[in-house]
Amino acid sequence: MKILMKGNEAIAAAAIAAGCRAFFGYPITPQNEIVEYMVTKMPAVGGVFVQAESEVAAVNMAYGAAATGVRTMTSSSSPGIALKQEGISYMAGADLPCVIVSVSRAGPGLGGILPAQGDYFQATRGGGNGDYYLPVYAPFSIQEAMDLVYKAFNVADLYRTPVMVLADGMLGQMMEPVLPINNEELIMNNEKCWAANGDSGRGRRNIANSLSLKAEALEEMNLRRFATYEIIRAKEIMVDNRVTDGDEVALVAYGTPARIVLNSIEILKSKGIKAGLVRPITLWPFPYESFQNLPASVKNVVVCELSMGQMVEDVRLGVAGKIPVHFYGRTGGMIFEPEEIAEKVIEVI
Amino acid sequence: MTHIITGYFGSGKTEFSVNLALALAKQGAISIADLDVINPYFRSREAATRLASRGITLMSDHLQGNTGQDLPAASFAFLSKVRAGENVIIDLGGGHIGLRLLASCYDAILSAPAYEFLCVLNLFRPETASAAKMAEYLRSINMQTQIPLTGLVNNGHMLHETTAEHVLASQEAILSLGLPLRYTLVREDIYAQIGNEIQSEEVLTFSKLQMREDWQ
Repeated sequence: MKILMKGNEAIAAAAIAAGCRAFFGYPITPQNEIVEYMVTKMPAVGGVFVQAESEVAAVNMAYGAAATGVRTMTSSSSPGIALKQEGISYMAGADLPCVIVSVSRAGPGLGGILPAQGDYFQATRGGGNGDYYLPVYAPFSIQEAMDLVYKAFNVADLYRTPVMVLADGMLGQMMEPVLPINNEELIMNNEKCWAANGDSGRGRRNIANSLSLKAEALEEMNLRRFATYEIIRAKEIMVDNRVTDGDEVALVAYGTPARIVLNSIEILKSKGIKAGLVRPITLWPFPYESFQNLPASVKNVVVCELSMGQMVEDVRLGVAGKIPVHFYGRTGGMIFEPEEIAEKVIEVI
Repeated sequence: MTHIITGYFGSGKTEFSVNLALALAKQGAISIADLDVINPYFRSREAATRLASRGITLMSDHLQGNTGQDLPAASFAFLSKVRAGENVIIDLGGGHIGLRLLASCYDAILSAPAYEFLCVLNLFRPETASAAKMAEYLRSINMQTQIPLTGLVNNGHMLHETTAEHVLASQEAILSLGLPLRYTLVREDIYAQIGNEIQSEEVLTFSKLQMREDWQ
């Protein structure tokens, strides 16, 4: 049976259903309900909750917990995720699975507390040092947020990598009817051969570490990690591509703004303009192929983001100059109306 | 008359408060006070323009513009209206923390000629998902406030997926709680189906959600 949940609560509930048993948080709007949910529900499942003294402390606690093999999560919003970047790079360098939830708000700096998407670069290009990527999922409904958080834990374990779920503030704060996660087939496997959990009968102790002073060894580790990234690129791309042959415009959006764009498409339809949506669900790896293979009928691409234009750069890489790529965005916590996007489309075609 | 509106966050307090204001505005001047210190989004202040066009004054904090931030205080101008017995709706934040702001209004409320203290309930929020959970929630409200609830509001809903069954199942749970069921908030097409089964003293109907855009 469906229940009515707020996005942040649903994200936390899905994490617990996925076997998350260690959560480290620090308050920041608009992600606070994740922390509040965890503090009330984590003790009941025998998990660990710590409200850390800062975002930096929280991410490093997550680094330590992840090293023991326990399914671990930390969450924050834009400026807090900026503070966590060092820990994310260290986890990538130590090949540790961890889920990081970013409920983004307007920036830069402290910015504002209303929803925005100016953290696409932060999520997909990172602020941490060194050569690394991490899978980034961008849900557009609360149900999808639950499903992707659940999936994120599996992907993190499978590839031994930190994974980010990037939800905009609107998704964190809005409510929707959702089906709770069915985790009957969940296998709680904390006994990972690499886990730093003492001897555990192996005859040796594991150490989690991202420091490697020997150049040959460090290069080898980087090459191995990038071989894993190639597998992730081949297997884990997700995209909701609704463009069909005959559409003259492809509209591109991720997260809740994609829902606004769907309304814009209806408005355009009533004016006799055929448009379709491409919605990247994984922001890294990015679904470049969807843009390489747009139908010949598509003469213009319009990217819509609640930013000054960040994903638009990946769309341009995908389109590779074959079709004009336009951009429409609002920032600061302002949210575009379906009519604004329809007007932009009419202006460019 | 002062109407104080509380409820678990996500019960639809603000949706109810705005609809109540629109209904009461037909009888005369009314103010709505956004004293929600819990939710940063989906606030009654977002409906300010629409409310003003119907003669409803929105009383909010002093931070002008669309900031989503609060100065959580009941202003003197607002408390004067309460004392004078003018029509005022207080839209509180969710849960027991949201009730704390009410303490700054006690003197004014108790010196006002009459007040209603209503709790909005929705059976489809996990924290009020049964009559027993609702009863526990009402107890937590009583422990937090010095004024007793005078009635309940049925807002059984699943947002855009709401059916008649949701409204009636929520009503059944609420009727067992022993407080008067003062209002039901229900979409007009559902009311057309089940109007004769609704047992609240009054019914507020709406065609479109006030606090949600079509795409939400």
